[in-house]
Amino acid sequence: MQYTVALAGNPNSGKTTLFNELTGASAHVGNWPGVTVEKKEGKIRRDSEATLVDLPGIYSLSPYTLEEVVARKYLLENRPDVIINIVDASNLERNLYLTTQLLETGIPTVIACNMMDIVDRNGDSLDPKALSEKLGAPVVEISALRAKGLDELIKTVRETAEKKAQPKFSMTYTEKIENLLSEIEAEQNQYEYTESSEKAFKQLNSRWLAIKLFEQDEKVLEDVKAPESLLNKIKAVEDSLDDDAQSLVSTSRYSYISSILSQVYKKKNEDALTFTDRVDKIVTNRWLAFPIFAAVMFIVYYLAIHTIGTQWTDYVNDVVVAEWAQGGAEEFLVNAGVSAWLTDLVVNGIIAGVGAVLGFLPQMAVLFVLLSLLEQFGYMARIAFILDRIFRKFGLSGKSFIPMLIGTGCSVPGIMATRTIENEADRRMTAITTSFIPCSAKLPIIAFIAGAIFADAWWFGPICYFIGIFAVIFSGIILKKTHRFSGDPSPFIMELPEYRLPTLKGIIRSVWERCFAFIKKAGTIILVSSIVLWFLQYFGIVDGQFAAVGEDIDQSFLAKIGNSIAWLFIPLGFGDWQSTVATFTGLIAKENVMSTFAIIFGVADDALELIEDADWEALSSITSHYTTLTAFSFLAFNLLCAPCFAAIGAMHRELGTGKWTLFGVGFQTLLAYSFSLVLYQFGLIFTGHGFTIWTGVAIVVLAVWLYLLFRKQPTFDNNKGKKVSTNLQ
Amino acid sequence: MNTSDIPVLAVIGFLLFLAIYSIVHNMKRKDCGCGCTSGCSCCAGHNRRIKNQ
Repeated sequence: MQYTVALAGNPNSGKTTLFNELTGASAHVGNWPGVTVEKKEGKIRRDSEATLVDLPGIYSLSPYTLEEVVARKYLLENRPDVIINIVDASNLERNLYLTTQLLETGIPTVIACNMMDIVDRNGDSLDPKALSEKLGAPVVEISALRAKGLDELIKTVRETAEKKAQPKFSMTYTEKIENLLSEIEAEQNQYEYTESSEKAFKQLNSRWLAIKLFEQDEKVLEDVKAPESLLNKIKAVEDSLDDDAQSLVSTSRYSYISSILSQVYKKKNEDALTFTDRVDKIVTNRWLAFPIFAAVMFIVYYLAIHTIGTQWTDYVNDVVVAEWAQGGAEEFLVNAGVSAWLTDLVVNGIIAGVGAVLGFLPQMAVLFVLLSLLEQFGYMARIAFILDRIFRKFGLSGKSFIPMLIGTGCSVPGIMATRTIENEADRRMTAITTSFIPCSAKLPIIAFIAGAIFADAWWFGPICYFIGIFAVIFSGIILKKTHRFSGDPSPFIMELPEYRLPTLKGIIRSVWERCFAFIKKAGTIILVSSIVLWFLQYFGIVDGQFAAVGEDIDQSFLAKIGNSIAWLFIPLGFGDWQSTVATFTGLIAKENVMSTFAIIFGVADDALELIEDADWEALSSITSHYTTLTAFSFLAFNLLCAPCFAAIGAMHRELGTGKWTLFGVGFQTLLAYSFSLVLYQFGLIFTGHGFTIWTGVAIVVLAVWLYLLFRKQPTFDNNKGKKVSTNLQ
Repeated sequence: MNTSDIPVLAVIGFLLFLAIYSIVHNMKRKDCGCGCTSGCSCCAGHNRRIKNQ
């Protein structure tokens, strides 16, 4: 007998863990709500006839969120043979709300009480037999994380499917509601249905539809044309009970659940705080939350970026890539008699380009291990909670902070960390704005300009970070006022999950997933771009002939391309091919900006080392090329414009489509261009230069951005994408 | 060009082909929604595993 089993439950109740255990799949699991946003299918390993469908986590069958719409649509239209309703046994009061709604559909249901280990740890007890009798459906105790009780669950599911055992669930509402529900049940055959919905609704329990009609559920009313008389009757009941229908139903449900729990669930000590409560009292405390958070982040950042991660990264860069890979390859190719140009391509093109990116891998692996520990322990959800109040003010989620913090090291893991943000608009916005925060690869440019051009001004470094933070806030406010990023104005509600000990298996899986994605990117996008850039740098037209340009880099194709588009940067003050080429090579890796300068301006030694040694004299050929203003404008543009290819690749992965990636890169570059234009043109005015046409353009550009910043918050009809009113703040 | 350039060019050409193929394939990919960050290969493997079972 082939049959389908749907896995439904609240967010973070362990659905995906159970799905992985039952099917042997390796879907991503995290200790925060909202990991699964689409349904996914797999065969149950110990029952090959059963197909298991993992639905997104939902709190109810009311279609308030995308996840709820996906889950409900599946249950109504596909009608699985059995539902496994996974409930968090340590928080039954909230979890059983969905259970009552699922049972009302009449679809055979098995209730899997998960996290029984936490119930035991708290010293509480649950009587599954009594709970089963009260709900009219089988109840099985399990621990998905520790793979306990799964055989019993599979056996019960099969039996339920074979018997097609509908739940014997009956929950009664107040008399007035019951009378109206009976009336709707009796009349509902006479209502007008849309063609697609009629069959689906008639397969379900008539009482479920009656309750949904009584609640005036938006989606149901789209499919069923309720007569005016019915709506008047509902209004009469609402008036007589002095509450709206949805509240009346939900209040009844919670009263019913409380009455059941008082009989089946015994708390060791009603007033005692759980382990999670005790930890939360400290880590989310009004005064302690920020210092603890700052300390945790400092440790993560310190270990990943400054100590262990950096030591390994330096080792990979200096020894593995430079000495072994580049040195070894060069020796081998020269000895084998390979042409000089091809040796250069392999050594200075492919290995240098791919190696520069792969060199970050150890740093990121350490970061991913630490983040994975925080995720699985449950602290990530607390960070979002702590920071949400601040971030909401400029249109971002509390979860946006982590990517930005990580982004100070490298934008690639920073952008990848946006995965932890379940709200799509917030995730996209964070992915687009994360690279505004200066990453470690941009530090040499900052250090060079601060040291060589601004005479080691102490304020210059902080001001660069301030520009990044300003760009994030500025973009957040502006983008939030556009249709694509406009969000639900309702307050941010987030469930704080129970603290759990991370498992080694979970950490290894999570770190491997992320590291592999990074390795793959280095082997694809970075490889191709490194080869292309090397070609453009190495060859050119010399004396009318295609040839290697050698030291005469201004004959290279790259210089020609730079010259052909350098005019774009004239209004920003650095419209020369050298700055243009440096900006473009920065797209490969931002470290390239200073290396490119070193080649173009003929600096004999390694430019990065000269910056480290603060040897500004040796870099004078570059500094003489810039004024204070043009250097600042150049730096501002490079800080804010499109990040390196690796980061653009990460953006593409997180944003999902080429169009979104293009939008993100376009927005960053447009903002960078506007900022540098205004900075340079206004700077010229303040330094005594005259008013030019570009000053006028800068004023117009500034006015447009200020309008976008301060205009009223429009509201949008999300179904049609149209603006419906503009008077909401 | 030297004779010994040929095998090196062949290897680079092969790597380039794989990289471009992978990039194009990734662009066409549809996320299976499993929430992992491994990209196309994970979703493809995930779907194939499920189909094969």
